Amino acid sequence: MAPLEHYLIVSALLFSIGVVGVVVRRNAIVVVMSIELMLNAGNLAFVTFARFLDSMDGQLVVFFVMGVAAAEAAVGLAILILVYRNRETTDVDELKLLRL
Amino acid sequence: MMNILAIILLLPLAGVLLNFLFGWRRGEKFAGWVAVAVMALAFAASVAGFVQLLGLPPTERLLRVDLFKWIAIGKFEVNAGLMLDPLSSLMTLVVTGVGTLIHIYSIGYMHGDRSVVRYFIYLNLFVFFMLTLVLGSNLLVLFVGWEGVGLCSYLLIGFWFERPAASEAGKKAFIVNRIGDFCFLIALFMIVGIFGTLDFAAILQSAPGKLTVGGSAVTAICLLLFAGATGKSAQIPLFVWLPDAMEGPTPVSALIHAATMVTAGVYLMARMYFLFDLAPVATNIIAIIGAATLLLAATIATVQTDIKRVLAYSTVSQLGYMVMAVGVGAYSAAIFHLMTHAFFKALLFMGAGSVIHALKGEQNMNRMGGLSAALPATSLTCTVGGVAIAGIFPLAGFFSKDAILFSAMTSERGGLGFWLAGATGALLTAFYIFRLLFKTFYGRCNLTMEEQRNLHESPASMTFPLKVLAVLSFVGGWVGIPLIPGVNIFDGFLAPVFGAAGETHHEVLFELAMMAVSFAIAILGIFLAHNLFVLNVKGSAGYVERFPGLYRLLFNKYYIDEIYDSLVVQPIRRVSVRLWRDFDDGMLDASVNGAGGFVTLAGDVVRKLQTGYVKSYAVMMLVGVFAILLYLTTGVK
Amino acid sequence: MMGLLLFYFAAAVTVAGAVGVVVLPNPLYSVLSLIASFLGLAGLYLSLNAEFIAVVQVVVYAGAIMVLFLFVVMLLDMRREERIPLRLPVQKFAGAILGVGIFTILVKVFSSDVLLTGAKGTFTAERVSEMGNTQVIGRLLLTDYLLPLQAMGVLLFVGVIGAVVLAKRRTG
Repeated sequence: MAPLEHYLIVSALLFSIGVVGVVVRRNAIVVVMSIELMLNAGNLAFVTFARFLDSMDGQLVVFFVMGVAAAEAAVGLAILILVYRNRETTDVDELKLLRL
Repeated sequence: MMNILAIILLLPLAGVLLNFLFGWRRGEKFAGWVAVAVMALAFAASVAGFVQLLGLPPTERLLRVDLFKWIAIGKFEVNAGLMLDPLSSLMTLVVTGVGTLIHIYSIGYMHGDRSVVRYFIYLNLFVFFMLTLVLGSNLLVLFVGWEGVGLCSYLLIGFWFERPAASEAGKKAFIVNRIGDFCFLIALFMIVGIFGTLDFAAILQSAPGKLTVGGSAVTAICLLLFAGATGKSAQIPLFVWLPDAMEGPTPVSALIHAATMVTAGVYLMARMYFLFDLAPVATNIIAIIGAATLLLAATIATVQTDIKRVLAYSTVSQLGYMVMAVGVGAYSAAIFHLMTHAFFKALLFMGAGSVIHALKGEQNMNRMGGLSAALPATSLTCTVGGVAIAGIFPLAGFFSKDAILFSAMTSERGGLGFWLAGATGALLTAFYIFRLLFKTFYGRCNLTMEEQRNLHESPASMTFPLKVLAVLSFVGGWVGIPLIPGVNIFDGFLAPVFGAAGETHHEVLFELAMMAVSFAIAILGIFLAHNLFVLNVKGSAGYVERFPGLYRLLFNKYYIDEIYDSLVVQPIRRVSVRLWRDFDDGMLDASVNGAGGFVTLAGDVVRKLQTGYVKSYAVMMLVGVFAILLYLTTGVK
Repeated sequence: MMGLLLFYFAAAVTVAGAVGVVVLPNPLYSVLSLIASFLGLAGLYLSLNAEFIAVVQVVVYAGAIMVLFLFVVMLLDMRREERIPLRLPVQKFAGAILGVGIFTILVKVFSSDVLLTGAKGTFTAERVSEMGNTQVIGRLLLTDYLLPLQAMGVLLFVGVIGAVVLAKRRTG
């Protein structure tokens, strides 16, 4: 087991990479995956703190986060499929119908 | 409230309400007779008040009533108060008496006019305000009446407002009066500042204590009050509205611009005589302006061709007499002349109206002449009026004018100069009034035969008032005959009001001599007029040819209107246009529009945020997260 | 010593995988890279004595969710991203700034002195390993965290229905 800060830095790294992915990539699937990355970064932080605080709460939260992430991924991908069916593309840069 | 004063005041107001509510439905006859009825009742009430006063001993002739408490701010109080003393009683008699006659005359004159109901409403309203003015027990109630008559004057001058000349004249009257009113207001402020009250009795009592004789405060107040009076009473420099006011119906000219409203300034100064007695510099100026005005107006009157204009300038001139009398301290004489002038000037105006009515609107005397045959009643009564105003014994004008001339000479504030001005004025008065009479009623007729055949005398409603006023012009002066003890009840009546100020001491012989001189001057004037306009008509044209410049100067009223226009009106106009264009349009409108424009601009900018582009929304959210993190970590630590 | 090595290895795999997700142009490769990253994460969880979580990570996340992603990628037949320049070239720049910025802040937070301010719990590592990680989690789920458990059940149920309804082809 490494010192606390190491784990947290990994978590921060994961999160930042996820942010970059959301902003830069055009492919919708990759964007959703970047969001999953960010979620996992949070999970890591939770488990880390649970361990160092002698608490199980962090692990339980992670349990629930994973469940929610699963549901979210399923629905998100379903929407993605619908979008693809309508617009023949998964390029998020093409999704600009919400403008005035 | 069943006080006689309230009755006098509210009767005309009742007339206004009745005509306002029912006049248009009931028609011309109803409106006219309602108006006349309330006036007659008001006159009866005035007589009752007068009688009531006579019943009191001379030193206690004062009736007061406070209708309600009007203003109460700290220690400053003003009540809606009315008061009847000899002076105001006299004024109410004149206003309601002559007013009733003019209302009767109006029934005939305004017959068939489209807006006759509106006319009678305005006329009654005017009398209401005039009565407020003369019955007020403090300066503020007087001022309410003052402003009210100004308003009604505007309404009545511009009665036929579709005529541009009429509406212009109405505006001119109101605006010029406003200047005077402004000065009046400043005087009021000063009085409140010094005395803490506007009540006549209170000021009278505390005046000697609070003001130094000849001091700057009292002089300023008096000059400001006089400035207000120059507006209402048409003296130099604010007289210019009166000739233009002839655009209104002739009965209006008779009532407002001869008998009543224009006398308001004289009344005001007489009412506040105790202040004027404390400011010799001011009264000197007043007398000089009065003298100058009477000469100026009389000279202009000698060459005018419009019959009503002659009478208008004559009014200005006669008002100059009254003002000059006030200036030399002869308050009683001024009021005496006010009364007699009301009689014969109203008579002359109504007579002129009768002529105009007969000639279907012609007002140019050069087209008249020899009308005495066709209009006997009119010409006879007008002649009586003319003789009266010229100051021929034993008619009314002789006594009142003589009283003024005598005081001008003998009063300690008077002098030979004033007498000379008055005497010259008397000469000119006789001249121009008989010029009017000769050109209108006598001599050769300048109308076509066709028109002459259509001439007919006016109806009884118009000739009746003429006859009454002719009688009054004849005998009206007899209440003021001097020298014979006990006969001058006029002076005696007013004495309690003016105290010792109105008295003049005289030597019998001297006074008789002065009277003879006045009489001679008047006869001379008539003689000259007769010469030029009856015997030697061509000669009058000759004079015009020999002095063309002088003639033009007089005919164009010394170009005073033009001078005012270039000195005052145009500069103000330019400033106003500048203010309107640059300030109102340029700044105010621009800033309001600018605010609107700014909002639009901001909206345009902010609209760019809504790109519709999903990715950018995500980015914005992340930026927000970043910002919050930043704040939380740097701020909270 | 071993623990530290395990940590570094797992951390390296995790981060490499994450970078791969963002960098690799082919979406299929991105999915596989993410799977690798998750496996690394599982290793990290193991080093933290969170055995149950580690296994759930592999089974649920890597095993189920990523398979779902794979299915979608293959269903939609995605190609490499076309080399059209980004609509807003500033995106790359913004991404870099945001990424670096957030990372910096987080590092700053995590290297402060007062980190472990929460009250210490009662589940020390020894006690947990004595009772067994899974048993502890299970017991807690059914006692203290019963409501969230039930809620999540409903959530998953709704999610499934939603996904099916959304993705269904319109019949007829």
